[in-house]
Amino acid sequence: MKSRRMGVFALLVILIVCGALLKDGSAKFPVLNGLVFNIMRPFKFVTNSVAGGVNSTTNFFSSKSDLQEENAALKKENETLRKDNTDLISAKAENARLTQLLNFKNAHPGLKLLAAKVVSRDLGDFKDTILIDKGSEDGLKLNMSVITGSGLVGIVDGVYGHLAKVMLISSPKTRIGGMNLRGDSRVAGIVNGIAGSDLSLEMRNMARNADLLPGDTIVTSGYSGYHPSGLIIGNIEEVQMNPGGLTKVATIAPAVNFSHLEEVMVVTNYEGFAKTLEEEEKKQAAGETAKGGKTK
Amino acid sequence: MKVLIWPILTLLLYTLQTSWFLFFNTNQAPDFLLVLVLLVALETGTAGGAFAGFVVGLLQDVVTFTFFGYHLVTRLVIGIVVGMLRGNIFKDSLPTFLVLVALTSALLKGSSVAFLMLYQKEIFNLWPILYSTLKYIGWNILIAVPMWIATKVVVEVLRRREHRYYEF
Repeated sequence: MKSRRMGVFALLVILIVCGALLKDGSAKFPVLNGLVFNIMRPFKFVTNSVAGGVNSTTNFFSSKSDLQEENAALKKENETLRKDNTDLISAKAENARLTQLLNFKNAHPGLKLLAAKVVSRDLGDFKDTILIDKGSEDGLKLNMSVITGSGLVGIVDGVYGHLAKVMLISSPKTRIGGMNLRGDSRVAGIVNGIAGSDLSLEMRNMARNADLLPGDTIVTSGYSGYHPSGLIIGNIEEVQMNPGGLTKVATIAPAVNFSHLEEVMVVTNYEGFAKTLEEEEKKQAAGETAKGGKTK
Repeated sequence: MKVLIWPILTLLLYTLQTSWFLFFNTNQAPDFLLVLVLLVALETGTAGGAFAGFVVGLLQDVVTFTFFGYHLVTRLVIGIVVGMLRGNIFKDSLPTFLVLVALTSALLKGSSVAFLMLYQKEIFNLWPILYSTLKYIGWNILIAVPMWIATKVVVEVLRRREHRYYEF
């Protein structure tokens, strides 16, 4: 009897539960649901933790290789970008230098200019010569002027096949005719290097009352017969009397930065009177020799 | 082949000195050839030092030609003097070599300034020259270290090879 009652009760419970489940799911038994969830909670926590751990470990290993690949790709990209950036900076600097040279060329249409690259410098203790990559095969001759967009660099001092030696204006052995560009001065003198470490120049042989002021621009006078006039040499830094007190001496900061020389231009078509004088001298010497021969 | 090594090395170092430093914004480059003369003089003595100094000086004079003979005489004197001093200094000690490099560089720079003063018959402002001299010494000391190490390695390799030769 007792077991029959129990059976009926169990059937009733089952029917109620099934009916409830069929009708509306778990919402109808919040207490039961809460109880079940609370019982399951620690298990779920552990399961979730373990699963999460496994998952994250798997993710870690799978993402590590992904990250490594990504890192390698990024490094490569960074290198490429860095190289591009360096190239860009270099190209920008080159562009600025070449623009300057082009501007100079445009400003002096009468001069035929040949571009050359500096291949060597600091050849000796005096640091007064450089080598350029153009030589006699390219039409270079001795005493031609070498310039940059900023001004006069030096003169061609030695010519070889595809190489030329340039003596810088900062050399103590260089002598160039210079002139003050200022309209109301136009004082002329001889410019030479001081050979000091700061590569400054000096202008000598000027009268004691010569009108020279610090900041004045000195250009080539053209009086030497080798260089065209009007090439910028530099700006006057200081003016003083020479030790004897008879003439003035001006210290000049060169317009060209000699530690930045990379490209230069050689004036190939200038023929000053120096050449004519040399030819005249040769003719005279030949004439005298012939005369001497006849006398004998 | 062995004979060609020295001219090739000298030209290589000269090219390095005069061309590689074009890429840097500096008007001062290390004097590889001076350090080479010092190393040769220390390793081989007066005759070797004199020969190395002569060749190096001649090369620099031929290339520059501004004051022909200046480089030749100075390098020759350095080669001879250092070769003579070889027995009186700790030639196998790097600090000693660095002191020697600094001293020689300073003397060389001083001699070039004195020479130019005599040539131009005027006294220069020595402050900027002092600054450039310090830079010159610094560069030379900097390159002296790897060159000294390289020389020691080469000398050691050659010595071992000679020993092996005599053993057989």
